[in-house]
Amino acid sequence: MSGPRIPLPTDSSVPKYGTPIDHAVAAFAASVVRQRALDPATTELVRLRCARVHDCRLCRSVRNVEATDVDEATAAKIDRYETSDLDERAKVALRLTDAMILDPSTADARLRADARRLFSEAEIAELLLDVVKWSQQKASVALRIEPAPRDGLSELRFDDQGRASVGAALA
Amino acid sequence: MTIMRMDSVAPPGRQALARWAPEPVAALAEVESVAAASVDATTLELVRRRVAALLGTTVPAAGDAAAPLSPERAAALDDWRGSPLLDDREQALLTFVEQFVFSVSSMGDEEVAALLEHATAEQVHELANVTWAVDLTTRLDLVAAAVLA
Repeated sequence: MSGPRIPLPTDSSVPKYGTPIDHAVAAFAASVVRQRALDPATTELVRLRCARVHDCRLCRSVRNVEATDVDEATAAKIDRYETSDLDERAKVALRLTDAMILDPSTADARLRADARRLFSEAEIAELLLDVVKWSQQKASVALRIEPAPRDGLSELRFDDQGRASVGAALA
Repeated sequence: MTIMRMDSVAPPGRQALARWAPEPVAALAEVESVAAASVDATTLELVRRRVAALLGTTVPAAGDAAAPLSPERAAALDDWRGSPLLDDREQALLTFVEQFVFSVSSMGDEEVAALLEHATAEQVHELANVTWAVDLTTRLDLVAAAVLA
């Protein structure tokens, strides 16, 4: 497992290194989290897909406490979702996610039709912006500066402003 | 980078997104603006062009801004490895960008070490953020145009 490729941040009172773009990214991320069109379970499936594809060690080790419908049996289906028994809405959400993070050319007429049949336009907009937010970890993963995960799984919480915190260990 | 401008030149997908999620779209435009200001124009143009090519799209016209890359250097990006028109720093940048776009989980220590031969750790951190901003906004604009616009 690779370690940090640049020195780790030292001031926990600011986002990452406290640069202007760090602050701008944090503001964007919080604004996305404050959106409420999409249900928490779909948001969590999208977040976990991003975490697993990008290999963000911390993101993989946390679970959003709002997504009570996503248990570990469900989370385990994400890697092979197309052949899983996840419902069609979940599969289309994950196809949209993959179009964003893997290959935008797969966003074709069929995916458009499926998405618009199963999601409102507000939900689609939020889902796509969620993927941008949950892919911010790419910058950390590239440099391996994402915070080290704890052993096992931990709670992921967001406050009213959209700021994230990692809470208690999950049983 | 597709800088979001609210004066009607935003890409169709971004305009559709803004109708449903104006606050995050405005915040993302601010990220793009700050990102663009955090690196020199040539670096930004190299990142924009390489990301666009890797994702199967093109870079929007530069408008009235002076082109940061000569036509010869821009053309060299199609086969940039070992090109004498791109120096070692630029080749390290392009290597990093390609790995970032295709599979960041497979990024190696050597790609980042090559960048650190030409930049400080903070500059490399900024570059990673800029690459993320260009990469994900390009993807966002492509997918949103297809499924939402």
